[in-house]
Amino acid sequence: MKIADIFKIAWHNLWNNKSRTLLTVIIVAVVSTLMMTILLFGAAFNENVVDFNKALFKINGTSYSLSGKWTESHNTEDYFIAAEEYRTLVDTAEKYAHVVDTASVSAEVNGGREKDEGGALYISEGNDALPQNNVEFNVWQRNDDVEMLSSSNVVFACFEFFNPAAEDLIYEGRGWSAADAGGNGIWLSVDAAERFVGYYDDPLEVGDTVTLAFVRQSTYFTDFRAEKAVYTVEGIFRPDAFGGETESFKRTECIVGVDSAAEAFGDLFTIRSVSMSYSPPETEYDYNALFSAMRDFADEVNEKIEPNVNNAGDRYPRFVCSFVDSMQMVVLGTVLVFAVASLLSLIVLLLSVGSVANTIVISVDKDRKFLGLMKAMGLKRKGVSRIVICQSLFMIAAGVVLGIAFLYLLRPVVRSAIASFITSMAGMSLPILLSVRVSPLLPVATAAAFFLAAVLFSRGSVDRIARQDAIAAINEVS
Amino acid sequence: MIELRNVDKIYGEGEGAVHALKNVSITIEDGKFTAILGKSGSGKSTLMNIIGALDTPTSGEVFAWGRNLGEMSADELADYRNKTTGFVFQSFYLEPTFTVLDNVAMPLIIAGESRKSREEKAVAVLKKLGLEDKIRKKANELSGGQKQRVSIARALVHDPEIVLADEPTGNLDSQNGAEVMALLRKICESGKSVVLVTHNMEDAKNAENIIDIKDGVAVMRGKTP
Ligand SMILES: Nc1ncnc2c1ncn2[C@@H]1O[C@H](COP(=O)(O)OP(=O)(O)OP(=O)(O)O)[C@@H](O)[C@H]1O
Ligand SMILES: [Mg+2]
Repeated sequence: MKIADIFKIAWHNLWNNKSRTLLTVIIVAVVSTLMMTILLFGAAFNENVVDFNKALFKINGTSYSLSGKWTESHNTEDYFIAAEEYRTLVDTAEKYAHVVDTASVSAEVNGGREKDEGGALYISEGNDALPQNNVEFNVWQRNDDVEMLSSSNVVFACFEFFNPAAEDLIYEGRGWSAADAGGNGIWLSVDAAERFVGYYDDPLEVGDTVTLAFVRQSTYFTDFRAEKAVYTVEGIFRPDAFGGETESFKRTECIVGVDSAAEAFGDLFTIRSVSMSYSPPETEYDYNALFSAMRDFADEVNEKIEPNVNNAGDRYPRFVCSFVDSMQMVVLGTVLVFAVASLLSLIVLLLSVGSVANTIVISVDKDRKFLGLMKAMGLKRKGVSRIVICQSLFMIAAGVVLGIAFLYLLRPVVRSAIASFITSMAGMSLPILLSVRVSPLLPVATAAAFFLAAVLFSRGSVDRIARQDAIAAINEVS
Repeated sequence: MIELRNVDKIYGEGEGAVHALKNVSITIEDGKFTAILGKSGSGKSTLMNIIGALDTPTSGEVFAWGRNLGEMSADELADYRNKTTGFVFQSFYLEPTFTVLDNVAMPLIIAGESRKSREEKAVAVLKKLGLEDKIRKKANELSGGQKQRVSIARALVHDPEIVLADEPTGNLDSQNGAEVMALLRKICESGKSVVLVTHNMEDAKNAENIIDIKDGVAVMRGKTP
């Protein structure tokens, strides 16, 4: 049979059963509206939440942080990172250099805390500049009469005053210029202070005041990936260290090479945490590739570095990528939403397709007499099945088109439902006017699902008609 | 030539079974007018349907021009019906909302013939039967006699070997009935085999061969005296 004739006969059969055809079309329409709405929830969730996070990533980039290992007390103030863990991190970071562009190290001055809740030294690594491998310390004299200890240097550690605060020699570090005096204070242990003091020509005496000042030369930030990374050393002021005076929080820093730092500071400080970050480039980039590299980076570090374990035995990864963490939730959420949506629509589909197929079978049974006559005139099984399938196709197409119309009419309701759903799922407030774009794939997929199911379901009725003696069908009282 | 050898047809099973044909062995000769004559319920339609490959015997064999219908696949049988036989039914079985043209062209539509060629053939047959002015009419707008002539046109449009008419005059008045009978005779004269099922001696009168059937037992006899 020619396709046009199959269409014609299918149409004729549907037309002969108008009310039944209409009923089927409406069932398909309602069900497909429902299915498309459910799928839209998934799609809108994906679009809005993932896009939102992509935008956040574009603006803020991401940050990683490796925290020190907890002590038994779980006192978060007390954790430290072992030297080999730090090395592991730096080595791994080299492999993922394309998703790390800055890094900083926060370290605590050894002994400072024990003495007087003192300050901490912050050591941070700079970003995207040339490696600096030969940085040395310089010392300024107390009267600002600076004496350079070596040449070619850009970074200075300066002592201006020395004032042993107590018998056990805890030194107060001060801001790097006189104008800053009293501003940037840090507390150093005796050991620490003496290291610095060692740079002085004049022997220090009790009663002297020294201000440690770390001069920053911002142009000399460096790439931590350099063979010998260069660190920035920062002094940081803790208000509570000064009898409750709430001085403004300031910091100073200087840059030193790894080896210089190690040499100079040795056991001066212990690393408490390492932070790294990455800002996506201005130009086009592959979001998914970056995202998965960040995830792999975090996973790989966590595999190599021992996790924290609390008293209950729960394990906590030490290396956290903020963006990966939030994206993982989003991805998980999206997958869940999609799974639930798909499951729901599958159930809806099965239920509805059952009724649709049933309606098709009934409507086809009504055409049995005519199809029987055609069989008597030589219509083959294939012809019967083509006509029946064509009939379902017509009804499904009409139903889905009608379903799209329903969806269009219902779109304010659907949109606000989706908005509140996503808001509750994502735990964030989104603009009320969501962009719920209906992909043309949605109705096509819905129609395809219907069609596939209808083809499967209608086999039974096709078989019945094909098997039946043509003459019996004709002779049946209509 | 169509030949039935020891054909039995039993409808149903067990106590309710109806033995509609009992060891029927007959031949339908080419180009002849054969009448199947019997009372209501005697098995005429059953026999006709088996001859026309619309139904299959419970046992026995049917040969059509040497081919054993029992050995043919469903699709081959469909082709056989589509090419070789033309059926005329007592209740016409036209599709009421189709035009006369589409109704007549139905066997050709099923065969997948192009619109142009099938319409040419249908128009030619309709002209021959004096129905050219009804071509665009819907089947349900016709009178009984016109309907039966349309259904005869449909049985002829694909130029079959054999035309099978099951009580074609049963729903017609005597004048229309006579016209249909005359038509069938003309068809036979044009060289086709015609098989007529009837319970009317009068209609069987002009047949060259008569098959008498009673309670499923069929007996062939020559031309009516
Ligand atoms: N599909 C069927 N199922 C069961 N029994 C049937 C079936 N078709 C026919 N019969 C029975 O077979 C017997 C012969 O029926 P058939 O239709 O061949 O008779 P007929 O001679 O054509 O009668 P009529 O002149 O009334 O058309 C009847 O007893 C009938 O009830
Ligand atoms: Mg009969």
